[in-house]
Amino acid sequence: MSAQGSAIVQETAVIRPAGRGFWGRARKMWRDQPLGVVGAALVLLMVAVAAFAEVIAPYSPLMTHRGLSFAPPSLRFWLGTDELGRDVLSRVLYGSRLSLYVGLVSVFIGTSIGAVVGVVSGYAGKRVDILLQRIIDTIMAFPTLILALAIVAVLGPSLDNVVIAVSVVLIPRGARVLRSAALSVKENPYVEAARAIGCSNTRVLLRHVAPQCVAPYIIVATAAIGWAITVEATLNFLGVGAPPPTPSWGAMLSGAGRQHLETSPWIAISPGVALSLTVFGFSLLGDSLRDVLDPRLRRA
Amino acid sequence: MRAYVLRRMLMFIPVLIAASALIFALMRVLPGDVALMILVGPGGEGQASPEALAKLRADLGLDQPVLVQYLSWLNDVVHLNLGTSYASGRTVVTELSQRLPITIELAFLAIIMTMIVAVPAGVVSAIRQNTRLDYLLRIVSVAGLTMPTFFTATLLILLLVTAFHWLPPIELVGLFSNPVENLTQLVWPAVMLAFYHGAVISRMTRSQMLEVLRQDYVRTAWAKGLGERLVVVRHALQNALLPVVTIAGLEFGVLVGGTVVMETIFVLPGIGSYIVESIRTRDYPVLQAIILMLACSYLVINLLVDLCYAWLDPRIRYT
Repeated sequence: MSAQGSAIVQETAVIRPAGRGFWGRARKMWRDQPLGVVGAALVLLMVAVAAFAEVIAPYSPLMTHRGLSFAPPSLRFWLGTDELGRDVLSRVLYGSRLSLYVGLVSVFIGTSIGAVVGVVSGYAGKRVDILLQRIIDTIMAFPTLILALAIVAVLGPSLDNVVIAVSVVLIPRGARVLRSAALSVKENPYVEAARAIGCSNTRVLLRHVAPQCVAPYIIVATAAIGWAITVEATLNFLGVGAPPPTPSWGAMLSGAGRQHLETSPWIAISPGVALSLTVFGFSLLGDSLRDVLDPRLRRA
Repeated sequence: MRAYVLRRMLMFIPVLIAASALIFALMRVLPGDVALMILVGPGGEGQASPEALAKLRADLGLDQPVLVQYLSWLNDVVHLNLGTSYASGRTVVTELSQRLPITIELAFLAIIMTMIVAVPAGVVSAIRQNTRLDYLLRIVSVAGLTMPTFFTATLLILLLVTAFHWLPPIELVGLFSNPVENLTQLVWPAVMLAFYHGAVISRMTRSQMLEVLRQDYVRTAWAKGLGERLVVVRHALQNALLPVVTIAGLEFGVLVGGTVVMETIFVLPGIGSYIVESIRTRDYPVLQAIILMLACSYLVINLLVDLCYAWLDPRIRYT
């Protein structure tokens, strides 16, 4: 084969993967980001479980079976029953709803508020930046779990208040990262050009700066979901989260789960494994998204 | 260096004042009347006459303007007058003085364990990159990061109960009355705290070591024929540890959160379990004092870390 012909073949070989179908792209993704694929699969599994809990769960999470308290895992109750004779598997499946709900909603609220604060702070600079950053510093002066506990203590234990608490402690993360992103974006020549042709600050911010900050926003948000789920479970574990009998992984690990650990370990172990797998999935997915979306970490 | 210290101190003071104002504001936006809550109790079992309510409001200074209340509270805090616990009737300072040493000891043990295990683990993982040992250490660190501390602690208790018939102590023995017994009681919660923090520190040490080991000066050290220990410890580790110091400082906040969980699980009468107890009993003077104390210590530790980092790395002072 001539040198020219060989070059054409090579070029075709390089171009072809983009045109491959779903399975081809999936294979490429598996090759490039195997841990990310595992993470995405775990997250999808958890989302599916949460969405179809009514269909998958063998019983209602609140249904008590008389005389069957602390029943060990069996064909009837795959993960056993708890102190009130409720099916642990059903409670674990329904518990995924609470964890994902708090994780996703609080991350969306907290990171979005943080992103707005960060982008405005980074773009505006000067006094606005100093003021907003001192506010963020003040929130960051509190250890996160302590601040979340304080907020729940003030507002009272409820699911909505857990969402508020987790959202507030997430604000600084988004604000810090998005501020640095905005600082870097605003130095680009096209931003200067937009200002030079007379675009207002609002237009420059919304049309030229903010869209460039979407990738860091996604990275921060995805990485925060696992963390938010852990904080939510911790608040429930400490008894200041959603009130009983709401099925929650954190609450299942405390109370009877802990008191009867020696005789009925399945009550505590099952929600713990589900929680760890979910956090693990989101961590892997977050790491891989960072690798893919952050140009500095992208493979050459 | 002096200018940097001054600049950093100037940033510290307004944040401290703002944090105290935030705590004060948080405790004033409580749903319901605090005075009413004190009189009728957390369960609403008591009764409150309008006269008693007005008298208590006046005693607590709640009839004063908010700014006066805040300044009065700040004045009390500076004079270490943190109020009286609604639940026990004792002063908050007395309560804290009994519980604080336990939390400090627990955190101190956890930090020592973390540093003894995690830094060498990170170094070994880096110098034996992509070997079985590296993979094993990385799996352990990922487990430490993704498994919530209250779950790993629950698994540990299950293991200790089934294998050694060990149960969390009903009463904690004092450090000075029986040091061995005291350490035996605190070692497991400290191990669990160290498991999480060790994962963070070892991952950080590993990535920093990998970066430093690829630097030209390390290659030069190898080329000169220096031994592995000398190259790794003297040339690479000293520089790789700089960012680890920062992370270790920032981890203080997470460590405090961890002590809340560990003290609750292992039934230890420290500050952490006291916060949860105060939330349940709605003991707001205690809650306010603990949160303020923790925020102050967190800010002071971050300040010290920043100063320490600037002292270790001269580039920081000039930026």
